[in-house]
Amino acid sequence: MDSAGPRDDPSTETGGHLSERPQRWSLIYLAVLAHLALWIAVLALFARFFGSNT
Amino acid sequence: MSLLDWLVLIASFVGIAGYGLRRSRGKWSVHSYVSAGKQMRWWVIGLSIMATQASAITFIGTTSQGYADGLRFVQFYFGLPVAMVLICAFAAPAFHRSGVRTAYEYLEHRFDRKTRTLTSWVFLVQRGLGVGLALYAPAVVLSVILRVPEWQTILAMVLLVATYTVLGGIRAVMWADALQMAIMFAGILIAFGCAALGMPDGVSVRDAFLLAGTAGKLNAVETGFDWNDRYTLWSGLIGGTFLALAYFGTDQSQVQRYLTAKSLGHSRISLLFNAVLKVPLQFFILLTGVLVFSFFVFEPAPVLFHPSERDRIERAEPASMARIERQFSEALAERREAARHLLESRGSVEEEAFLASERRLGEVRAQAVALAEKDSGPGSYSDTNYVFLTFVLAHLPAGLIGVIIAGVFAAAMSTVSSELNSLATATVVDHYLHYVRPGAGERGTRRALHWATIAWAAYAAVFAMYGGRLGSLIEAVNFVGSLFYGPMLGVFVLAFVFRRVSADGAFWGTALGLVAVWTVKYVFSGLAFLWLNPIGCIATVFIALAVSGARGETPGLTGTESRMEPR
Repeated sequence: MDSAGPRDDPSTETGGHLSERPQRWSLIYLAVLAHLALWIAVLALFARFFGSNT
Repeated sequence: MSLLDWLVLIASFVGIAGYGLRRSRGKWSVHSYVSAGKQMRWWVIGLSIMATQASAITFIGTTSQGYADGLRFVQFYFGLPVAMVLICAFAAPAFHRSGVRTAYEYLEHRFDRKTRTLTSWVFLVQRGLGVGLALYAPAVVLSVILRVPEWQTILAMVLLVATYTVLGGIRAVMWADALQMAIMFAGILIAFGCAALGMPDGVSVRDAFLLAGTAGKLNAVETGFDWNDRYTLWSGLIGGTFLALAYFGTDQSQVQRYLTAKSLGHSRISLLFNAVLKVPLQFFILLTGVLVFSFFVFEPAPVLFHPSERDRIERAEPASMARIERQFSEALAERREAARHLLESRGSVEEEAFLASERRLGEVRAQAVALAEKDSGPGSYSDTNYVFLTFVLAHLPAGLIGVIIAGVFAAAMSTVSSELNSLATATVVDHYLHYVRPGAGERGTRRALHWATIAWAAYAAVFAMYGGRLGSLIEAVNFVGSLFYGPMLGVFVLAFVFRRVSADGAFWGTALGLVAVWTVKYVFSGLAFLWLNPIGCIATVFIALAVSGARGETPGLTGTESRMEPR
């Protein structure tokens, strides 16, 4: 996703352990989106659990 | 408020300004003033981004919205994590590699000077309107609640904010933001705890949620599609993504925050920090409002939450108001009984009885609202922003009230300080150093940045003080500000994604994209405003591609590549 970033200029990516492998950022992005999907599901279940019976 | 609350409030004021200034000490330079020397860590940036977005009205209005409308507003934020991922992947690397100080400077590298100037002007107009409102809206609410003149709340905020923003620059603003966000977190936790613990004996938090759920206030995800409904899963995911992309990816008040990072990695983590926390945080704030709803099922609530409006009607129409208040008390008692029966048996008959009592209460309140709107017209009365603070002032112990009011002030000041700092930066870097004094040295730039910050603070204060006289124009100002985002996003999409768009194409795409959004809004006036962002963005991209194509340059998609070629 961001393959041009760290490879082009490693010096700008001195943030530490996440810097070396751009693939790791892709995995982190996926995890963030999965977190969103999980929250949408939790919110939907929350409404269903406490919602009206009728 | 008690003396203890005032002491807490004053201590928070002194602490915020002192902390911000102490953390900004060091050798002064323009680089440090506008970019914090590119030394900021992800968690400070992340908190600053969050604090800048969270205005005082977010704090008091969102809880009140939870009370009135339930959880559905949380869907507005579903697009934010998606936008943050896209910004991390495309915008943040491009901004970092280019070494720019404003987002619009990047557009000069990518296109030309006129595109930079146009977009920076759009930002100054849009954010200039925003900073006035960010100061005005909470000042009105706080002056009514604290029963002090508006000018005093405005001056207290603007003097404090201007002091540390002028003296310390972005470093002071961001460290103060981090502390302000901590005060806001504390305020929300206290309010949630007090609402949960304040339920009468025998009523648990689960019971409170059950009542709120029966009243339809826990519908956080609505999957139906409606162009005119701003809060659905689809408007949140699609419209919300475009709005968040525009705000976090093109607005200098946000971009300048993550341009201060010591590395691209720190920038990205600060953005993802917001992506992960924003939806749970908004859910929690709304849930506090929902708990306040259940709290007022058992505790007496005023028929109107706006204290000075209530006083005015009681003086103007004493007989009518007394009758309405008597009916309202009876309806409250009826609802309280229905709620107790519902919690005891949880059958559908009890549920229907509770909903009927809720409707009856709404009908009585509608009579009071009609009285409030008698002279000013339908739709003119709103007490949404007063519900939460009424609860806080009437039902929280001394000391904790001070923390929450400090949180409201902190929310307002964190937004205003970041906006003043970014407005001053764009004014000086994008305009003054190009068109007024191109050869200004470090000292001249420093003076210009100080005076630009002071000028914007003075403007915001004047706007806020005269805000009340603008009447419905305030709403128009707020609305106009939201019309700029789509085309602004469009020009940055062109810069990051499309390889061969010409400078003229980008300029005319932006200019005509603005015209397109205004036309669409004029023709389809009922359209939910979130949809204007994708429409403006797409219109800008297509117009720019058409202009570029007409001039013989073939546009092409670069995929993941984002070019930085000075022209």
